[in-house]
Amino acid sequence: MTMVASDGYQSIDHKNLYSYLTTLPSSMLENLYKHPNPCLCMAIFRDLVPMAQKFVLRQLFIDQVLPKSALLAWITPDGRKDHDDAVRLLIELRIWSEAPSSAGLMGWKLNEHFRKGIQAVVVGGGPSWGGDVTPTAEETTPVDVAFLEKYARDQWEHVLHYLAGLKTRQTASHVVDVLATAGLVRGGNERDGGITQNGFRFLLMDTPSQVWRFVLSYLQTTQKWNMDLIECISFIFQLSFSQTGKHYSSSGFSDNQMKMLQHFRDYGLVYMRSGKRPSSRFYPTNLVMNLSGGASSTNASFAEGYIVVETNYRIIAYTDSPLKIAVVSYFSEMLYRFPNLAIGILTRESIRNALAKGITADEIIRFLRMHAHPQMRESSPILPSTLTDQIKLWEMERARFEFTDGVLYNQINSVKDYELLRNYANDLGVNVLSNNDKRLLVVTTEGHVPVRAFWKRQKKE
Amino acid sequence: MVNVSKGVLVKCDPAMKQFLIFLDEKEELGKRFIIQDIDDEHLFISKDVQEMLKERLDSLMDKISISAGIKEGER
Repeated sequence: MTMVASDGYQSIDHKNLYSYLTTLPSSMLENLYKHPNPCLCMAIFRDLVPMAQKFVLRQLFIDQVLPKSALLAWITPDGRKDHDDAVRLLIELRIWSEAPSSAGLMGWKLNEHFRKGIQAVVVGGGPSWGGDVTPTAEETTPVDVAFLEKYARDQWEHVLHYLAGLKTRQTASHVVDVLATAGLVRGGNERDGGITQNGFRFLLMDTPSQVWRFVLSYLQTTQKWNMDLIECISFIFQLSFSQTGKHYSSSGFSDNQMKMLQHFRDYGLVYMRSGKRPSSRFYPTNLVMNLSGGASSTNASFAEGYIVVETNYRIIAYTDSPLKIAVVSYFSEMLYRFPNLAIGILTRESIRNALAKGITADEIIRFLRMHAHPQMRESSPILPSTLTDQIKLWEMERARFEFTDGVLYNQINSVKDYELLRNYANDLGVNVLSNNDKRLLVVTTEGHVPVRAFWKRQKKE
Repeated sequence: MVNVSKGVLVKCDPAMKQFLIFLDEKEELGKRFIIQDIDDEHLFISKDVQEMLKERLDSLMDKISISAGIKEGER
């Protein structure tokens, strides 16, 4: 099952931080490491695979090129794959570059700015990461974590409300812009373009993944607003190192950072007191905490359980939130609404509608499991297996064809020619299917060009 | 001599293959689309009918299934 449905989605569908960073041009990464705040380097370092972290740390205070042969001596034969992965990652992130060592051997050179950043983290020094944290006189009434969580949830639900087409409040235009960049709503001139296939799937995700994808496409959108990408990324990292429940000063922030702060307030990533005069203090919420960890740092306890599903396909949602009911009704047929719960039923028809919208069976099942009522969670498996199996069966009956793009070679005259072509395609790994009796061969679209070239060469000889 | 044609390889069960052959012979999609019959489970077809086939399959499955009467009142 492919996770990527359209190009707009693909571009923001990065699982973690570095898969996003590697798409940036190298000059951009260089500037990122140059940033005076070492928290950037730390955020990247923190997310490296252990092997890569070790390489960087060992090299941290050695001011010379590390020969490749020396590096290989560090690892056991079993660790070869990890080594290769780590090296590739470090090169992709431009942390390592190839350079000749003093003895003339080829080796790896640690990016100077990255080295300085990590050194500052290890031995101290450099500017404060999160800005000023000392409480001032105006903070006589501290904001507690429970309040921040509720605030974050409300604001984030508001974003989702717009996406789900429930227009309860006025939605800021920048929210719409970001959603359109992410390909979740149909953007462009008609503002009320409505939700796309990916939008439906987005609504079924857990909140940390949603926020992560949203912030990535926010970064893309900032370029449209002519904001400096480096500044934006560094600001997000800075936020991700802050603590919820504490407050930070925005004094000394640039215009762009203030603008982002205002935006993030609308998404529920930070809270700012509203008063007669704008407060210079802001409170990061739990939504912003896991950002640098990417979508992988999913906090399962974040999802509230409110759904009960029974073996007779009944689905009961203990909620009064129109958003939650709307999401549940994407794949179920709503029967009754009560003040505190809604009852629906999963039918072949309702699941088919969801599948036709581009939602997959796995996404539905994951959603149900994630939001299962605490009482459901006590049983094992959490969801009745008749139900999960049936949802999968309904999906499978739609997928009885398996399509593979390819190029067919047929009417090959001699067995010799056929075997020549087939073996060549096998060697390249592009042979999708071959039939010896009918002497035909299907190769992948990419494989067509080399195979054709090979055939032309053969014909001449 | 080698004949080269671009298209889509379809993998399906033999019953579905017969359905595709039926659609092809009756020109149900407006034209013939099977380029090569490979074996019991594989056909090579032209790319432009791929989406139409998915719709056809969907409506076929709809026709041959009956909804289980689990709705309230139908029990």
